[in-house]
Amino acid sequence: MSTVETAGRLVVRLSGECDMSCSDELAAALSAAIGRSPRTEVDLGGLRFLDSSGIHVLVTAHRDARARQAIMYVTHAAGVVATVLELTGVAALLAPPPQASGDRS
Amino acid sequence: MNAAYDTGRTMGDEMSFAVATDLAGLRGFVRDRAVAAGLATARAELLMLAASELMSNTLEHTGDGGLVRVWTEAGAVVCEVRDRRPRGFRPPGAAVMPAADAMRGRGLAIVEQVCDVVSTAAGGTAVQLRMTR
Repeated sequence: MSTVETAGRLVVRLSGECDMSCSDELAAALSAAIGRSPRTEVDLGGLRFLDSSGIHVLVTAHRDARARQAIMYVTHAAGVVATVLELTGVAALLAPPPQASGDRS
Repeated sequence: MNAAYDTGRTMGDEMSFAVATDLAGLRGFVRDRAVAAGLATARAELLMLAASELMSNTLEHTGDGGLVRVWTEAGAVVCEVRDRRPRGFRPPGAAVMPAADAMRGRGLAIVEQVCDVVSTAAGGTAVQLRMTR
């Protein structure tokens, strides 16, 4: 997991597998990012696995961001990570805002 | 403690788990056995996801581990997750996916959605996941 600042937003990059053994670490990283920046992108491109505990962390962080008038969204989900986000309906909730479409490049 | 629940022990087509850091290895075990049994990789990864959710549920709610087995039947790959919860613990009925912004409650709903058949066995001490191959 790494956090980099770029072009008016913080990008939190996840890699490896995210389950209950690392959800606390993810929650702390997202909370720190949301506290620092009005825009946080969570780049899932390097993530090979995401379970319900990771999804709950993402949804909670998204709610916290909204409460702070901040934006948090996910990008580059693939494979089984994209599948689980779609079937839970969370892919749409955490989709990039329209004005962030350039972030997908 | 029952020897069959020792951490990370592999006995043919079964493997035990006891702590959260065991889960990644167990997922690889389920995926690899499912692919070897003839499931396409994407379907094997759905079975892996469901098994992982059941294992997490065991760790979260029992504070103890369990046992995972994978085998084949005519036309299907079966993955069973067994734990120490008492017989008759698991009620029948499908879990419903919560709203997208719900803070929790997705684990068992994911299991129901990604597997072809979800059933209980051994008096409710085990959950069996079936994927048609």
